[in-house]
Amino acid sequence: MQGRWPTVWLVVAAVMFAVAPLLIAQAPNEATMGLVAKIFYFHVPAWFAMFLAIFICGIASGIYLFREQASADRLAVSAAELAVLFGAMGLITGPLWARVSWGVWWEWDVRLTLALILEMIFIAYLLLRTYGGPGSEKLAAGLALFGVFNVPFVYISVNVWRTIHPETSVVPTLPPDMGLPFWWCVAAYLVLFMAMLNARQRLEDQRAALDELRLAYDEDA
Amino acid sequence: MAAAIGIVPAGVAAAQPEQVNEFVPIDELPPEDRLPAAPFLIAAYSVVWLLAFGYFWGLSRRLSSVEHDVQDLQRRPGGDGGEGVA
Repeated sequence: MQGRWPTVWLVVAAVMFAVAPLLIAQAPNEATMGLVAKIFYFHVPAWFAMFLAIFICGIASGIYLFREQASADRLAVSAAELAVLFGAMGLITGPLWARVSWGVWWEWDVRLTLALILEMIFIAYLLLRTYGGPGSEKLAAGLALFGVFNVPFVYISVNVWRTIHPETSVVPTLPPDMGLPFWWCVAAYLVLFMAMLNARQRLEDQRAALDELRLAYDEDA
Repeated sequence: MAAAIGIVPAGVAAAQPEQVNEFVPIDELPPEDRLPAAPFLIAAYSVVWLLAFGYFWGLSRRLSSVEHDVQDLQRRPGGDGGEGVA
């Protein structure tokens, strides 16, 4: 039954992503940025999904560091990979929006720079896990905790420092005809995230089973 | 060099749009604002789909490979002969 869940989540996510453009098309254009501001509907939810992935990775890393549960480490590395994936979605869709709204692909303001650093932290995490050798799991777990503590700075940066990026007050003040497609897209991203996390964790579980089998086989030989 | 490290001349900085603190709907938009934005909007949506599909495709390949290795080891003499991890 557990093996079917990624498929169920994936089908639901695909349907929600297919319906999303219809809802987005019916939403009014934003007054100052116009049509291109509709990138917002899949740019911001990508960051929501990334932040969720980072929190899961951070909590699982903390459990692994202090209780040494191997299952927590497997969850952490799965979530870290998704943090990089959803961060990439945010970092690609953002410049497409910026090119039209700001006239530039990239601006080295605090929000964008911190978001890029956050993405690089989790790329470093994955590189450490891939090439770090024995013992790199705990070093990577520490890096994940460092990444988690960066998230609040990314979130509040637009309110604290002067930047051209929209403030965090945009989402809570969305009118209903913009709010519906936005929260629909958030839900679609979260369902997609669950599908991916479920499937990615299965990969880690199978890798652990493979390691155990190899160990048992070597001992018998 | 200055551009490479992100130092922006004062004139350029002054020309930047103001920060937005809320989204305001509009019913009518000038035509010149509609056409240039559409390819960027479509590109952004396509990027999300491509990354999601690409990730799932890569993940399914990795998963198939590992599951094949698990089954292969289980079939060998000394393997447990089970079905792997559910």
